[in-house]
Amino acid sequence: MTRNRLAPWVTVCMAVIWVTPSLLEGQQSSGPKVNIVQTVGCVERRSGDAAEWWLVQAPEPAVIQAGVFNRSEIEAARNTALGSGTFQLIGVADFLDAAGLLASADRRLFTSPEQVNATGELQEGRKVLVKGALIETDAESRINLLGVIGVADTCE
Amino acid sequence: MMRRLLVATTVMVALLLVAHPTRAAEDTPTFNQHVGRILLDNCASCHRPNQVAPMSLLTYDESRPWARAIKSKVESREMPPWFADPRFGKFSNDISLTDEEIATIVAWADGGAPQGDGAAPDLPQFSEAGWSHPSGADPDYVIDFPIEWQVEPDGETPNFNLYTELPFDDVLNVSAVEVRPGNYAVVHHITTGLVNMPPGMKLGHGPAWPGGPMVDLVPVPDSDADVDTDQFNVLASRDRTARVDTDADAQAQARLAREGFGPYIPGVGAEVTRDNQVRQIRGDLFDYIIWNLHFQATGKPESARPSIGAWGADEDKVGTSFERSLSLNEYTSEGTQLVQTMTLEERAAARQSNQVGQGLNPLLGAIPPNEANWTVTGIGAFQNDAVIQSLFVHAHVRGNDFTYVLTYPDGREEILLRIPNYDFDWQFEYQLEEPIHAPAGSTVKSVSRYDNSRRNRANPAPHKEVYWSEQSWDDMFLTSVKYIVDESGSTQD
Repeated sequence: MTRNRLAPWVTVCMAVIWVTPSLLEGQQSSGPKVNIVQTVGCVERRSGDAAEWWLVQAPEPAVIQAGVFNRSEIEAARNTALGSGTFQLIGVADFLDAAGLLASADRRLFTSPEQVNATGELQEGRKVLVKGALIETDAESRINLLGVIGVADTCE
Repeated sequence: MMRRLLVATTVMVALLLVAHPTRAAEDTPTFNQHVGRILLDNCASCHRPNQVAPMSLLTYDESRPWARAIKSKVESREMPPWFADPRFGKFSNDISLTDEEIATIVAWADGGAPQGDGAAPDLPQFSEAGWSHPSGADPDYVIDFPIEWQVEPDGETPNFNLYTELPFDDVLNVSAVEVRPGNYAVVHHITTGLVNMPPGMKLGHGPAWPGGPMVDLVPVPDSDADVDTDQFNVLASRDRTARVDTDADAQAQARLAREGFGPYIPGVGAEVTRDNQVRQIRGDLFDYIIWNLHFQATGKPESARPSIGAWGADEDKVGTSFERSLSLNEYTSEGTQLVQTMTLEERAAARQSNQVGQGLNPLLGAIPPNEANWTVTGIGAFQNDAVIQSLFVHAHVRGNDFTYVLTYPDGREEILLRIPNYDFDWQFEYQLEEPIHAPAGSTVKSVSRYDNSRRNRANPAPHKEVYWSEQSWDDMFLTSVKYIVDESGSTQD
């Protein structure tokens, strides 16, 4: 290493070899403002100026870390009892069918029908496992979706 | 009388004939007055000595012989290279030319490429050593790769990792970093990262890759160590920061810390932080630089000795804002929500194996032969208020088009960046001219499409299945959304 100049900006914080990762957390120690959550529920489509998608009969969401679903979570979701929670689902485009995605926001500006990557997991009346960022306002609770898996075609 | 009239007419015609080209020349743009500045502002970052471009265009004498080629390249918008769709987002590192600038260059070339009167535009300060910091300053710190790597004239060199000690054990606060290849012709890419040796391992003598040349820069078993070195634990303990973090922004900062000095990839020069921000090189957490090296044969014996440069941050900026990197680690692909089917132990074993194409993106399926529209969407969420600063995507030659979409907590969608014609040879970090506030609860999606068909002119083998690894015959889906935590309170939903 060439030290072209002994710059004063070299901050010697510590010379220890092994330090705890909490050092990296130090600048944001109060925890996240929004949690990533996972829950099950029944999909409801409400018509208005634009279709709205809701998750109803949802049990209390579990706070989780981001990361893809695994098999055991999906199996467990099939047997999870429904609850009474209601959440508006946003960021739904990629989880609708192809027509739903193409009708969403500006997707047609960069997506042709043969290029659609839409999972179709979000279908009215279905029981689904969802994961996303939980946004709680005075008026309602929303989940900005990260993932959706259908676990039953009917919601019981 | 007739004779006088004839003489006068002849003189007038002659004057007109002489005067016309003179008037045309006056209208023709000149290098000194018009074209030189355009070339310096938009082309000289590459078209100067010691850079990737094959010729320098700093001066009139250097540019004049290339006038017609310059005209052709700018008219087709092949040069300067820039790939963002102008309908979405404005970027501070946009080097594309305006229609007016292109017209000026075309008129200059068509008009004989005159030098013109007056002085040529002042040359910016450039690093004589070839570093690309926009100030022209040389780095404060330079780390040279310890050996000159010899590249065979023919054949394929695998992508491989070598390690060197990080030569400091404290925190360096830097304002810019750059990785230089040492030889542009033979370096496909270099990525650097910061790591620690797994327990029970030390830096030692061994093959650079299985069957490769012997070097002193690879991890080897440390017979003096007394640790549990079962396979999973070795992988799990690769670095200290991987173990605990539960806070999303801390994880994001740790991710960037592991990126260390960043990459050399075509089109990328010095990565400069914004005002009042610093990048931290965490010598307090990591002991080694991992150099991921990929060389390519040129038909003749070559060598390369890469190097890293770092520019120090002003003391008064230290402690202001730290950049983080959002992970888009939820995926949908080809209309399917991707699900983890392997256990943690199985994943560790898969990474350890030499399974072809499974080195990266292990959830993604192979791209089938002749598939023109193979899709993957990566999704991530901001858990705190954030300010997005730049966007980057890395793929190989099947990468076709990429679009970043932000979904706000109120459900609105905004297209942040669209790259309609991705080019493996030019990979820019797209620096937002105005950073975008993303309130906590926003998500970012990278909607990506790969073309493994004959329609893709860069595709060397449309008849082959494409897997996921660093090798350029495979492909990659690597996204980067750089942000800082917004503590202004201006992004409340």
